[in-house]
Amino acid sequence: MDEKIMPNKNDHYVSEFEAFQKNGASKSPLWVNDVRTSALSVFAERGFPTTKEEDWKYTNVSAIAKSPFTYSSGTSGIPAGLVASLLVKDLEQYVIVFINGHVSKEHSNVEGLPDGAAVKNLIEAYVTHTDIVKEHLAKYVPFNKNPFTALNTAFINDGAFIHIPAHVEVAKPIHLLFISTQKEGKQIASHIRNLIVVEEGAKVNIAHSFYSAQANSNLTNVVTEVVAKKRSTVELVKVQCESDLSYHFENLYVHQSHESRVHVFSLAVGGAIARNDMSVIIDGESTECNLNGLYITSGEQLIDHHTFMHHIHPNCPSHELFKGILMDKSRAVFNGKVYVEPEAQKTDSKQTNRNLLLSDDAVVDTKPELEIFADDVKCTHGAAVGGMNETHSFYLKTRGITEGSARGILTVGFAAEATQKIVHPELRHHVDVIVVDHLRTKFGTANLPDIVHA
Amino acid sequence: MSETIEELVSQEYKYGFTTDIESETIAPGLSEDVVRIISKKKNEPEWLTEWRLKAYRMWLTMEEPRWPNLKYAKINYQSISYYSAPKQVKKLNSLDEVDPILLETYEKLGISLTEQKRLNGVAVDAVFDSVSVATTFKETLKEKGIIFCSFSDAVKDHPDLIKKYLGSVVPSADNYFAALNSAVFSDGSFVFIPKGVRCPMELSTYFRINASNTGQFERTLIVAEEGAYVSYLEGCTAPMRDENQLHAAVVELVALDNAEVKYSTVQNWYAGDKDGKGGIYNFVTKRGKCQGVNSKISWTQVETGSAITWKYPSVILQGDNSIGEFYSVAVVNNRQDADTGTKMLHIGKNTRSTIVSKGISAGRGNNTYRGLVSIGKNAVNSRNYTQCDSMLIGNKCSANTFPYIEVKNSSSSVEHEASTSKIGEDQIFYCKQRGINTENAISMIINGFAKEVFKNLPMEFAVEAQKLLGISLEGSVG
Repeated sequence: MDEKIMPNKNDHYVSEFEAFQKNGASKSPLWVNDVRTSALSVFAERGFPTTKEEDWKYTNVSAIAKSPFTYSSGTSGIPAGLVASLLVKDLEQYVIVFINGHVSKEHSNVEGLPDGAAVKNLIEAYVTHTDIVKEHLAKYVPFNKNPFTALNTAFINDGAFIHIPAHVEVAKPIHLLFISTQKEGKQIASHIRNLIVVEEGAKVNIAHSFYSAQANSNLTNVVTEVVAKKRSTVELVKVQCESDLSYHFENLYVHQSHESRVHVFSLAVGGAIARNDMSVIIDGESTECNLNGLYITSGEQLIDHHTFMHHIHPNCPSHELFKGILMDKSRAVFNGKVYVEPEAQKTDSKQTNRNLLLSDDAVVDTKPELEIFADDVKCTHGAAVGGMNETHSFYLKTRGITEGSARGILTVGFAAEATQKIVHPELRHHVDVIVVDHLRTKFGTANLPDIVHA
Repeated sequence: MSETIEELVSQEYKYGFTTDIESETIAPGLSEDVVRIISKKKNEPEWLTEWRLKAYRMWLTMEEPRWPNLKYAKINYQSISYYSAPKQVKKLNSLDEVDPILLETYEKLGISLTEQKRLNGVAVDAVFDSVSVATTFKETLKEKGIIFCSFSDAVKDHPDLIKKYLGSVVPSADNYFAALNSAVFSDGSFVFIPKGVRCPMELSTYFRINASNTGQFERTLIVAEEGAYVSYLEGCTAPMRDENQLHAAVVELVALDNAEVKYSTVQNWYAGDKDGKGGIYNFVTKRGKCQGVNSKISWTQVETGSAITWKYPSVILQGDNSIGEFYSVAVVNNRQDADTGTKMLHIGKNTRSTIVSKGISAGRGNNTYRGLVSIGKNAVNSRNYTQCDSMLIGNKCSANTFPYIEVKNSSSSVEHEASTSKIGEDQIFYCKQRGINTENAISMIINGFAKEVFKNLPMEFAVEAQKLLGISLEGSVG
């Protein structure tokens, strides 16, 4: 073992790492191993973040630091019919399923992909797409900044790999489905690593879903790198519906080349503590980026979104809309940063964060940041926090709608503004249904309208 | 167009002269003994000496904050002289006895202490280096029961009030610079408006750093009793010197039930030359406490000077229905760095706050708005509106916004908006075709941008601030 690694507070992960190196990691190439070792030494030195760090000021992860999560070296059984129930209804889709971070071939089906396109697990891609993996894997996300990313990088093993060759348009969405399940009564840690490379002029829509097979307190720690080459179009729709007891972290890193279009949508409703770090590096002229999201928290959940929009080149529009609905004693954190380099003239950046507080015990901490070094730009951001608009609910009540239903209708309407940003119609409908079902459960009434977009 | 601008930019800081006046300055360095010497020179009571020493000991355990978005050389606290005073033999009874050279200095700055006596309107307390040299209108104010005097006089004449309120809003252990100030503060102003009195004139303090190698550590305390009202102005300048000088002030405002305090600052400390040499380090802690119900505290600031600015005038909204306001124009040019903003801490019910911040960056300046709006659990039905606008002139400067918003109840509402824009060629072209020259067009556009803040300044100040803004930015639009 490397001498640099200090075996004290994080020795649990150091010993887990040793076991991992012996068992599961043998299938990956040597260079991956080098990255792993250096990432582990970063993690071993830093450990989990504390609220004293600015980036983690409002998100206390001490519960995670205290729990000894076990690395699962393989898949486990899941209830029959679970996968089918989680797919996008009435839509043909390519599906690849991962259980506790390991591919489950029996549940996956990627037949009929266009020529040259690949949707597979990373372990296979090491062999079949060696050069592409080597060129991109762990090349974008710095692992020395975020301890969860360091931990993920130390345990890089499996995850989804998508490669769309130049000028190929994938008509059907690709569904990456990650299921976390209990195993021998232990708290399982899945360190999932995804790599999505979309070559010049290619087009793809991806559903990116996370579920728990039962109420469990597992840790899902994901790093996803998306490479959008020249003039490509990528849409990624994330749905995070894990158990309320679980812990979910994802660091999504998008690298955009010129004239590419990227749409990301994130729905977060699960997890005791869940955090999405989403960074977009706009590394090309005339690219367009849309980063949107909706979070719904209840009970004592904490859901955190940190976004970073890095404008390096001129003439790029970027749009962000994040909305939050908070109930009970839950908390939400939003931190959006827009960084405009001196060369990034004519940047048109808009960022909005709106929060609806439905309970006096819920807490929102929001911080929209701007750092601007170019003068000919149009950058705006806005943040708002407030309760239900009493005038609106009064209006509905005068029309004979009960207090409870009025609140429900207005909440659905609030959510719909966010989901409207999803481009692919079936994926949008898929998310709408999940949102309304979730709200129906939380409001305790089936009497909520469906979302219909104009 | 750029030529006119070049010319104007190279305009010198017009307050950069020094005054040759004999002063008593203690040797540079900081220790418990220095704290004792300062206290002794000022004939302070025992309790205040102890209070200073406690702050000093606290300061030794603290670390200089590194979180601001500022770059500056490390400050050597031992190379600064902590006390410098114009030599005076006897206590002055009237302005006529003030050293004429000093009065001349203030004339040069446009603050005519003697004229102030005749002109109705503003009562001035002038602080030269560390000591308050003259306070005008003392008598007139006394009739109404208003106390407006230097801090040292207040310690002697009104020890009970000082004891009661000193450190009640900014405790000495609040932050690094507040602790330093608490240990070595030299002078400043004290204002006390008794119950039900509306102060009939603007009160003003003019701060001037003159001696080299000195720091200025003034302390201002304003207390408005039930139903009282006061509007207070503060202005500052310093000579041009190559070394950086430290200014670490503390301002505390207290508003009791139904009281209102309006505090306006035009800060024009020497900002250093165009390569960033010299200039004042302005590390100031300003905080007001709306202690009583229906009270109101309003901060208005125009920040054009200083090499480094670190300043967050804040309001603790403790009383129910209290109101906090912050209006700010911060201008950075050349190599100036400013990290400024406000904190609105909503504690009482139905509390309201408004923040309007306008940042203008030019040259290689770096302008940061940093703010906190915190709505506590019991601050039901509270409301905040924040607007942060930035204007960039050139692409070597930067504008940053770091607003923190923390909301802990559902009946309150918080809105934050920020935008960034530039002076467009089309805007200038439009003005020019109407016969307005470039220079005036720019000044018009900038003044329009900052208008919302200027309209909150008292009249006399608004005029000065508009001019100042013109001078600070002239030449930076090309």
